[in-house]
Amino acid sequence: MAAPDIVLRDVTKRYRDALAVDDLSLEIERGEFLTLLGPSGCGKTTTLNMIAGFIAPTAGTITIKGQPVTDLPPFERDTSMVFQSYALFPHMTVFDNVAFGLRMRKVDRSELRRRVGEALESVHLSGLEKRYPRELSGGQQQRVALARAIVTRPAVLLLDEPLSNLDLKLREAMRLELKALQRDLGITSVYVTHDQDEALAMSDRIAVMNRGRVEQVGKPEEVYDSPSTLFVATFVGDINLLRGTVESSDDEGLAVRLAGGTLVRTRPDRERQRGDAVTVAVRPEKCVLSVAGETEGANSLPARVVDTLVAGAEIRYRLALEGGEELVVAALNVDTSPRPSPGTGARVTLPQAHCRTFPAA
Amino acid sequence: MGLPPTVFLLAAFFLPLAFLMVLSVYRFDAGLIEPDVTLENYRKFFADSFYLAGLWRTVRLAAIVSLVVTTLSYPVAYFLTRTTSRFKGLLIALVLAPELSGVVLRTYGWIVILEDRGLVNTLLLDLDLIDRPLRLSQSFAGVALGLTHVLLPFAILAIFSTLQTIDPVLERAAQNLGANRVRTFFRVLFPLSLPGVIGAFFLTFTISASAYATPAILGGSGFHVLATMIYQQLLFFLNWPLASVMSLVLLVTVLIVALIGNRVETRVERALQG
Amino acid sequence: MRRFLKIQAPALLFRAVVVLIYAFMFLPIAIVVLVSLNAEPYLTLPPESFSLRWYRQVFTPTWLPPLRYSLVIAAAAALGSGLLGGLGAFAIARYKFPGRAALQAFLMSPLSIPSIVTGVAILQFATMVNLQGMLGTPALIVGHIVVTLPFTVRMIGISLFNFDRSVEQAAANLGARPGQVLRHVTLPLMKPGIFAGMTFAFIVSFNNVPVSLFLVRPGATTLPIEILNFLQYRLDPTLAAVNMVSLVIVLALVAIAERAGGFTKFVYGRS
Repeated sequence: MAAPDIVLRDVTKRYRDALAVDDLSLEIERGEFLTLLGPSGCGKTTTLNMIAGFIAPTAGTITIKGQPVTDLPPFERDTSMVFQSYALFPHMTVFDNVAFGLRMRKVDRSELRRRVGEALESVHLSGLEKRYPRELSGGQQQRVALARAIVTRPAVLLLDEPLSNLDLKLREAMRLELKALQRDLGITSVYVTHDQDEALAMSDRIAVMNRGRVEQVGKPEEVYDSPSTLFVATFVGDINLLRGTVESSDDEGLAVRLAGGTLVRTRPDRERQRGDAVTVAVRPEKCVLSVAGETEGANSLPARVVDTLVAGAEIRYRLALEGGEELVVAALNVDTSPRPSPGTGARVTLPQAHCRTFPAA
Repeated sequence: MGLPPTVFLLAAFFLPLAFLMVLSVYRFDAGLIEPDVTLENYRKFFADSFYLAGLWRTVRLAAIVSLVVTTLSYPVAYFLTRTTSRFKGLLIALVLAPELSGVVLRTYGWIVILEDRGLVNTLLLDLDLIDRPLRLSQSFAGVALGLTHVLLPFAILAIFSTLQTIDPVLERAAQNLGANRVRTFFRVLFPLSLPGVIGAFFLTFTISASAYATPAILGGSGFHVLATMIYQQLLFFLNWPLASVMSLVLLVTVLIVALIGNRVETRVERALQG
Repeated sequence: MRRFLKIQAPALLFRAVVVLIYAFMFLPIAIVVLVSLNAEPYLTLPPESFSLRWYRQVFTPTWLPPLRYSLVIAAAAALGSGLLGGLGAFAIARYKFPGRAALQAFLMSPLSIPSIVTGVAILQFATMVNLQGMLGTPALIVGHIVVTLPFTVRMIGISLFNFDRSVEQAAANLGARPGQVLRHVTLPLMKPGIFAGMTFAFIVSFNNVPVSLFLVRPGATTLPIEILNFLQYRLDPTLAAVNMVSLVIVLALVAIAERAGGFTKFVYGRS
């Protein structure tokens, strides 16, 4: 297997009184689309800026295509960035914006024309060469920024929340388009976002960051289905959290007594022991709602419907367990599912395989 | 509400200015001012090489000083724009501070530094680099230096306020696309800051063309620009009509330059915005 | 090494240039400080001994009257300029009427006329229309108000544009009549701008040369003109001490204004 395109080794960035990035190591394969996902202030943008060379790491090394770049200024690194604000040069036409990187590389005129034309075509902007940025819509500006970044055929494409300034519909369309373009070009990409839907939809792998550290790196389905920390579980997707104490632990699973007295069985976890305070986490769409009085199986708990919310394709029920704990269950909005009304009793089944435990926060 | 200041300015400013124009066409005869309309005063000014040299010196001095000031101001303005120092507010206040000290104090300081027995000459003599003191004060260069000092804060603030409107991410974008510092500056930052640079140049030009104290003190008694000539005509020769003509020449020069500056600035701004 | 040449060296060079320019800006002021504290009449570097003897000369009948006179003129000019400028700024910011932009341009116009021309015009006008009695104190105050008016209009204007109109609407909604809104909401919010504008006007007037030059009368001279007259003939270290005293007065005022609601931000702020 080829060496990774980007290697971050023990990278740390310390500001006067704050640790922005804390001993971060990461490898990104050739052609891979990796997303740095996390809340604002988690260090994801700082990490991206260190790869681009705008910020010098306090410690650690960065390698791009086998070349150590830690000490190189940004203009000597083979990276292209799509900025959140697009950063289009307001005093240059679309053509000049896209041609800028090629001019810096002293590409000859005919070649330059051809490549700018191709880049604009690939983002469906042919014909707008003579416009100025302020004469374009937000979506068009975004495409110019993308064309400007890919026209130099960089080793690495860096994207800093490039879709965050678009409205919802356009954003969702651009996700698919951007991802398709990236796949066609086969360009190694690092994408920064705080939007978990975006990360899940576009990435080959996601690195979830929190307080300057990577909490988990994995494929979208791994991060979603098998979060390794409570932070990842809560940041990526919705999840129910129930507090309790471990009563027993064996190869079959854990038995957790919730604060209100209800007993819940969860996946086995060797790190938890009898007496540990834990948080049980289970996703709303994994829980199954049934009518009161139906079969009582494992983790099938009596509950009362507090209220319901129709959210398009889904109905979300807020339930109260007998001990008082509340949890949300998401059911498909189809005619066959039972629809208990608020105030009535119901049963909720928490599939044991989907109940994970984390040390109590 | 706007009435009181309007009336005040009309009476205390525009009326005297109008009167200045009237006086410029009155006859000056044997120390007396006669209300006969004549262009004699204008003829006198524009036919006399002494006065014309004064006008030319005024323009040349202002042009040189504003060019130097604008150039020196740019790095400071850029530094103030981009610094992340927690003392940023203080650093800006420090630029303003010399302005608070008044032109007289600073001129005094420059005399101590530049005069024949001043600090620079003493140092150079002690080092045996020169035999006789250099003529630093009482010279064009001395006046230019003093004016440069007076005008730096104006130009720094003018350029600073434009640089502040330029998104720093544009510089990053240019560097990211392979432009080194020099190219980033000339292709992105400088063109975008041109309105501020032009504004600073023309602002400092008009101020230095009208300056009195610095040329009067640092230039010495033989050094004449329009401002010092006006003073002389008015208070020594008592030729008020001629002083009026000179004032109007200064006024028109400054207005023309300001007008050109405005034109250029608007045009550049429009070009930048596409 | 590579990192040093490519990244750190240019940054260091740039910093050095900035430091040099700052040093240039403070050089003459630092020199005046040294001269004023130097015991000898001639400055040598470094000074051999310090003394306050020149400062004692300041508080004598030679320098106290012009200092006092300048303070009075500046206070009067600041008051007049603050009042007229406040009215002008308020009219521009708060009323929509045809010619609003023209009013603004009109009130700013003294800025585009060389002050020395303003001084000449007022002197000639007052003399020729037989208002010689106005020369001296009244003419000085009027002239100083003319040249400081653009600053007070602009700085008070900033304070008016910068605050949220909805707080006035909130006050009205809570039952305040227009006069009460003005007294309890608008004026308190304008106060920093008014204060900064008047402080600036005071300083401009206190340091003014080109207008005062023509309007002072013998026996009643402002401090800068008095210093200027001395400066043309001799270089007495007392002048340095006098200059320092006036600088300290200005700095104290700025410090008070900065405390009272900000000064610098109004000087370089934009409306």
